[in-house]
Amino acid sequence: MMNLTIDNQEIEVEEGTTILEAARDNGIFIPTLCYHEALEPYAACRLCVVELEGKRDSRLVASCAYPCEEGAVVYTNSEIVRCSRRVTVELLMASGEHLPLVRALATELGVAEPRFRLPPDDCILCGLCVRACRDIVGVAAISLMNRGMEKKVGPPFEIASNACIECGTCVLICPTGALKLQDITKEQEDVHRWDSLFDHHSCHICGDHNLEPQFSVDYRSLLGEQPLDEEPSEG
Amino acid sequence: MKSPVKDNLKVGVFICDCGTEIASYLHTEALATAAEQLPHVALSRRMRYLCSRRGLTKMQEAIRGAGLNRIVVAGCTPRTHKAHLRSACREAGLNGHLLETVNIREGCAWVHQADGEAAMAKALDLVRAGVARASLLEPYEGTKIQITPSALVIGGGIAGMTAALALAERGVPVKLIEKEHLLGGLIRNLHTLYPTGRRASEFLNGQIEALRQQPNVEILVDTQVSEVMGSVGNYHLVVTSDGNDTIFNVGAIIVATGAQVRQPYGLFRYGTSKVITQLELESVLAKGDLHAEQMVMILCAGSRDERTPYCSGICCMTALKQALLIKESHPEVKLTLVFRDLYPKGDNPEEDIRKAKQLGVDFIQYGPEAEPRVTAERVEVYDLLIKRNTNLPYDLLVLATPLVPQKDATVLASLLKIPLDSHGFLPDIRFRLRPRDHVERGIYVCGAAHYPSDIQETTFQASSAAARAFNFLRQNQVVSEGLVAVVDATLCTGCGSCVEICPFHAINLKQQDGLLSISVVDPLLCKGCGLCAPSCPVKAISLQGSSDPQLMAQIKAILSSEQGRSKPLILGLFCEWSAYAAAELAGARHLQYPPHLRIIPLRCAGRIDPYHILWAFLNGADGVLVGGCPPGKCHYVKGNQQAERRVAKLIDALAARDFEIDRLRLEWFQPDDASAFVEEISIFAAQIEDLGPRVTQDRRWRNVRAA
Repeated sequence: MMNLTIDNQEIEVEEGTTILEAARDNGIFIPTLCYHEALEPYAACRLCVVELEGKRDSRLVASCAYPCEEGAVVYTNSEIVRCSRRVTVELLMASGEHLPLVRALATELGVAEPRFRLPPDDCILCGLCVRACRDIVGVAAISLMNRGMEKKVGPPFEIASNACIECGTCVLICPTGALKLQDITKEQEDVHRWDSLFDHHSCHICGDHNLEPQFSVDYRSLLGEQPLDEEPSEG
Repeated sequence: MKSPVKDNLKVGVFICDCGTEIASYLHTEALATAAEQLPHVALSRRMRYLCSRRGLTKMQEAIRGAGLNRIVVAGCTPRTHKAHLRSACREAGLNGHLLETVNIREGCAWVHQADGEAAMAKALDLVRAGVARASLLEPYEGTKIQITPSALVIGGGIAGMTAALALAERGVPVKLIEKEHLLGGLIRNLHTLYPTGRRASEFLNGQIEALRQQPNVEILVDTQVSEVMGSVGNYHLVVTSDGNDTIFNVGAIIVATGAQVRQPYGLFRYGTSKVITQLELESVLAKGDLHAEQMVMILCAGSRDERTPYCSGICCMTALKQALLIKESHPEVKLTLVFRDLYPKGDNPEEDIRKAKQLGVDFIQYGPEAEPRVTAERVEVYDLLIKRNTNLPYDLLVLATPLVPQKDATVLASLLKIPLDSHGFLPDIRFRLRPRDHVERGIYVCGAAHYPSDIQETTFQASSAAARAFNFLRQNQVVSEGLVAVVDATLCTGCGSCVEICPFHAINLKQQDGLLSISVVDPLLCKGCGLCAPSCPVKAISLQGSSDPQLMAQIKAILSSEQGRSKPLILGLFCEWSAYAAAELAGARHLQYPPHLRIIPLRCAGRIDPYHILWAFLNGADGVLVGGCPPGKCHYVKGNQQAERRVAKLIDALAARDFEIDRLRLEWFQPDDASAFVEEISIFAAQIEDLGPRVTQDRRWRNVRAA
């Protein structure tokens, strides 16, 4: 166990706990985008940055990935933190101003108008879908491709993926609703034929159901009666 | 069915606040207190974040401290968190299958934000059902098997040879069987190869030589598979050669049986002396006895029509190759290529088309609506370019006929229990199921057996199949964790209904000492869909984790609400792949819908027994909504069809007894369409509200028996 201070609150945590986990466990809110409880920290969105006070100066760290340190002093909503988040949100707004999620963050941080403009895009490249597909589902049907401005999410070579199991976890986990399964999966209209060669015969006892398999015993002959005509009927 | 261990049952209930996400809409403390009163509950606790390190540690401490043996977690979606919670349970010494999750976030808190009271009543119902189900859960360890580290390749064509060589080079002992006397398959009949122009025999002999020098490969010709026994990882194949049977034990099977060229008797006068196929032309060219002055080639002869709707993929290149060969060796021959579309593959096919045109080959395009007409002397074709009929006299007509599945593909498919596509080819065996829930079959299809393919693609596919087979084999051991069907041998009458209905051929009848035969489930082939359970007339077969007692208890508990009686209750029996996914997505999007719905997720809509629906109505449901995947989308091949059939039959039976059949509905849902889900639920809820509470005095329909 170790002790630290978050927003002037004395907190005791287990070793290995991240600052974000410690804060959340104690009811301190830190905004996040690319963080998910079921996934390893990714530290991509930089929205969860907090101020970590050092001996001479303080610095910004991504709280989702930064482990707590003994005696650390952390501020989650100081001016420098808010300033950093404002820039992050401005960058998000460049292509995602229409997204309710981004707009809510902007209002919260007091960003009115972004200084940058990009074509509108629903995807904010948080990578949650890619990581969920790989780490939770275990199939890795989608990935982040290209670099820089061209970066996007999709199946390999942007052709319908055979690996996708259509579980929809990516769609569920997407914070902005950018994903559709149709973008990933092949329309599997052509259902496989699994021809069964199983032969159904009508029941020897009641003659009613198509139940008795051909190699099961004929009860009537066991009882010394005349066996029924064996008429295979449709299953 | 085994009766679960009732005594010493200690259920632990953990209600998650999810910070404020759940706690702002639901009174979690009240929920925890209420859960404490439920039967078998030994401990009920509310947590701020259950999924956090601290939350999980607290849960583990509680399991160890209070000796809990069943866990119910009420929180967010199990789809993202169940695996974590399961492994936390395992760490605390509890079998992962003794955990039950209840979704009160996406399934309740987020979707009924305006109506706190109704949301609370619903959350309580869900938790009650979770506890009822958890009390009946049983531990399950999964199935573990060792893999035999060897492979069998069926088919000695280019696909089979490439795959065998690739596996042998990785050190896997391979047996290669070929039904004919010589290796090579279709390539044996070819003259030259496109686009290299290399002699086919030269290429083939090189391949065969490489194969013969590889000590890990054993080649058996004139050999065919006659029986397949065993299961995943350990197949015992009986192969017949000259009437002698041998058994091979292998871990992986590569199917490379290729395809055959259709001989289109009757089409375009095929069968008369002047009409041959491209394959026959190959041998004419190989022998060098081409005696023709006016040649016509018809492409897409017998393909891309109603009978054979696919493009055969190789004919354009073959035709181009032959045309160039002929023009180069016999420039005097007048050659016309009658085509529908030209789709040649390769490095630079346009160059070859240009070259052929330069050499004097005529290209004439016909349309599907006007096929060429062939008489004894000439081919009459409607030229799409000049919009006029053209007469082409011929003394040799060559038809580019499609590759069609081998005659014995169906036999092989049923021996190996692999699917056929609608054309009769063997598609890739890929299940759209969670990889941890099922094991790979260890059977891989490559080459033209899979789909018409040229040599390059075949080689590529074969290498890929070999790589996948190698990856499978080197695991040594595989574990299947998914829940599977189990048969109660004392109840089974051996009727075979489950054998017939199983989409994966996982159930077989096994003869018992002369008298009866009973069903036996292969746990490695079973995918846990549960289609078999409702089909059993004596209820001898059940699905682990979704048995009738568990579902009945869950349905009863979810409907035994005391507070919500003023509002109608709708039970949703939902396929987890579509309807349940859509419901969760609606939750994640915070879409609001009427709080009458109580959802029980199932593997597949095909698991639903008409008795479950009747049981729901008996226990006070005002409406039942069955949700499944749209036609053709079922993850278990045909579960949705079964659900549709069963619900339709039940509706007929209920209608005959004056039951308000509008209370029962079957809907298809798209897993990524939350708004359609909300719309559907709202309509159904309004309909049930209009109908009012069900008159429970009228019990006539109680006697209804599902046909």
